[in-house]
Amino acid sequence: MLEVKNVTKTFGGVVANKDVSFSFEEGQIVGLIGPNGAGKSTMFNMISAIFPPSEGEIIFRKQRIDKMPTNAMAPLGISRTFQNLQVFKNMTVVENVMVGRHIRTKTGTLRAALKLPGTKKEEVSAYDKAMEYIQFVGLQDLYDHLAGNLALGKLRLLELARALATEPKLLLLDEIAAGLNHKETKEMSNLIEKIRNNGTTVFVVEHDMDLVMSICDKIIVLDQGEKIAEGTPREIQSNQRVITAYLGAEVEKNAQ
Amino acid sequence: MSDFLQFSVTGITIGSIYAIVALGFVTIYSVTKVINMAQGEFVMLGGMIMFTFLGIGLNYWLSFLLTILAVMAIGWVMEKAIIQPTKGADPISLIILTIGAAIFIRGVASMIWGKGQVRVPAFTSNEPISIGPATITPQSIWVVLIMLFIVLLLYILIDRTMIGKAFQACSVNPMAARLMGISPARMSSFSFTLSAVLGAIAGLAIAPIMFPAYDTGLMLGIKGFSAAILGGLGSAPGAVLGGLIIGLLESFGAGYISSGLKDAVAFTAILVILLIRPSGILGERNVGKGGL
Amino acid sequence: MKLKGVQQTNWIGVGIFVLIVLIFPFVVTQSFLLNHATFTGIYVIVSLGLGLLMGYAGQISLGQAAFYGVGAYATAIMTTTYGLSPWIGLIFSIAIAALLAYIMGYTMARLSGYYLAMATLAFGIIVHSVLVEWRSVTLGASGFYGIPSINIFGYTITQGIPYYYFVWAFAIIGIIICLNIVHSRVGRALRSIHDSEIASSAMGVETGKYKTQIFVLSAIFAGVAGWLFAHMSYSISPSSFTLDASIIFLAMVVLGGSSSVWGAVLGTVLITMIQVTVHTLGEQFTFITSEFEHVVYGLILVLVIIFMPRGLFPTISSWLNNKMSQRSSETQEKKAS
Repeated sequence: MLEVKNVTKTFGGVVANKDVSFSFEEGQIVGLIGPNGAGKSTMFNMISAIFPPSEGEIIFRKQRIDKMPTNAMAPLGISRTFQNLQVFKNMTVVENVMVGRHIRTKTGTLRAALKLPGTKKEEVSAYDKAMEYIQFVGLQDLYDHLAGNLALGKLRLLELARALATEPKLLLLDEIAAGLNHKETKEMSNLIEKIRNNGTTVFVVEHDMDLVMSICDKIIVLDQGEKIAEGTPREIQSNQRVITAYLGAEVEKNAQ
Repeated sequence: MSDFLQFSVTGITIGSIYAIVALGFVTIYSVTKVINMAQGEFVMLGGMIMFTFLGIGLNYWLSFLLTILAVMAIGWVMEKAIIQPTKGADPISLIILTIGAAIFIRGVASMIWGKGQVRVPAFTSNEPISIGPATITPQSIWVVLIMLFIVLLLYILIDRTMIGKAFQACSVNPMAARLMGISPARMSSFSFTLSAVLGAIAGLAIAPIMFPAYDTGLMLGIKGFSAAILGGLGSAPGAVLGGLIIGLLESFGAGYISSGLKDAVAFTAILVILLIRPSGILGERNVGKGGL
Repeated sequence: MKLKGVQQTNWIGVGIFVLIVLIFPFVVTQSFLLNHATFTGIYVIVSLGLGLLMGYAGQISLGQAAFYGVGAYATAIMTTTYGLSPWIGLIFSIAIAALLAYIMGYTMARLSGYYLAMATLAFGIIVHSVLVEWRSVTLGASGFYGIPSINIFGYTITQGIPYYYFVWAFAIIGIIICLNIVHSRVGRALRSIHDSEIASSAMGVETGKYKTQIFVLSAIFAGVAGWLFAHMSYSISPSSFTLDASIIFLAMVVLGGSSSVWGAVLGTVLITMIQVTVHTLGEQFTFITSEFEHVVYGLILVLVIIFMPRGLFPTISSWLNNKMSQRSSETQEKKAS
């Protein structure tokens, strides 16, 4: 479903990703892990076309996407959440998720301005659909609250609902469990498995090792911008290069 | 050919003034990310205050100095009164804020000095000098010299002094500058004061040529802003280049097309240049940031 | 059906507003005030478009008077020079303003912030220069006079009460159009751009497309207002479409608050009231001149940005909402105890 071919990304002189290649098939939960500064977020931003790679190709369902604009991703079936939370904070929860329905509805400026027949119906159906996703992530009690007033755990769920509302084929979750407590993390991993079982491929960047190891079907490991391993959780756990990379990072951290 | 030379001389003179105004924009922008739409008003005040000091019988060069000090004080007050309280506002709000200040200053000026133009004598005797087929007034030469002098002075100030280093630090990374003990608030204050001085000097230099009135600052401000944008916001060499280009465009537009259309010619050219280079001639292209 | 939790048009509010507009001529009978009220309606149409552009599309226009002027001149040329019906003139007013805005919006799509401000400023100045200098078409600085009145179903809309109602009918249609857009899929998309442009485009919102569309729409509003202005005034000249006019429109939107449709209306009404007051006072006190008016505008812009950056209407309405929710929670507490 997704194929990353020899992708390199540099910022100024700094190399964030170097000649990374991997691919995976539909219907899985795939994890992308690595120590801090491994280039995981950069890779995600390229797959969601926030910025293009410096070199290499990204192919999604036989289509090259690396030169497309960001807003072309959702219609193709790629949706995402953001590590640093990009909710629309001056809008309510349900309005946020309704923006997720943007590509599934079509009222344009002119139709909206004149309230032509059908606009109201579409509005109601977008609302109902948004409410379904809100229910799915369990935010139904907060649906009319301003997103800016929500706690972190709820914001992560809101981003998830909004991303799901686009009905993606590939869902990118950027550290969706960051800052969540144990119980919330558990609930999140249940949700992610449920999403996969509903037929959406999920690609996660994650720091929480327990979460990654327990739900992922396949894991890709980056270190200092390069891919160092790829395989099932079991294979990764016993991979010597991965252990060294993580231990190295740990040692450095302790030394500081 | 003689027309061409004459238009070039006029263009470079007025372009030098635009360049000084544009440098005022850049000085403030590079530290505070504010576009001060009242920059032209500083220029107007330079001419008008000079007129008043001369009117009460003060010596020419004393008036000159006092004018600079007065405008400098106004710049300082303006920063304290309206920029400090609105830190972190978005560009649209800041534009509106400084437009408000400009309208206010212009209104007050018209209440003080009326609507007529005032006359200020030239620095030195102003007998036109003939250079080949073109004539040039000594004041025009003064204008160009002052522009060059200001460029040199700014260069020394920014590149060779401690306060200049602090200035650069603030514009590159305000957070880190704060950590190093540089106060961005003080730098912001300094940048407004400095650019008020630049405005006053431009006003003093141009006053003998264009007879300032309360609304002189409007167009000068717009042209200076255009010059700064054209050169690439934040770039001092760009500001000078932008100023000279606009001055020349205007002068040739007036000479070869029609004097009524000189602004239209200049601004159309600016739009075309912006189309080709959306961040100005010497502006840096936005570099994508990693990691969001 | 009520969609709870989604911003929707408060039709009761619209109804009350229409009622106020309807009874105004019966309450205020001085003809000069009615005249100002008619002009207010015209300005409301311009600031509605500008408000949508600034508050929702997040773009600034320092040249809105240019579209207003283009609208006025298009109809003046069609009706006076070519003797066509004002209704044909309206089509030209809209079409030319929209076309210019489309070209401008399309080509300037890559610009933002200060660069866009510069571009719109330049555009306003160019249009003004062309109005003054293209004498064979625009009749230069003196402009047009003898612009015909508008006929509708054989009835001539004369100055005074008829024109007042005519203008406000357009203004109210404009308000409803804006409310419809704001409370729709498009409005939500635009609001989302404001909060996070990156998330917005990740959800598939075509940011640039909507910005251009709103820019064109705001120009159409200004064009229609220009059309109304030309046929009300009988004569027009470039002096009505200067940078000063653009700045006054800006002041109206900023004062009222651009993030709300009603803000533009409120700001326009207030600024016009200030104009009228200054003029009236000016007849009694010599120190109150037209320059004094500018000092007031300048102060308003500065003070609003410092103390009420969102503008009057949003500030007042959120203050009222807080009051109300405080009161309801107080009563709930009382019930609980």
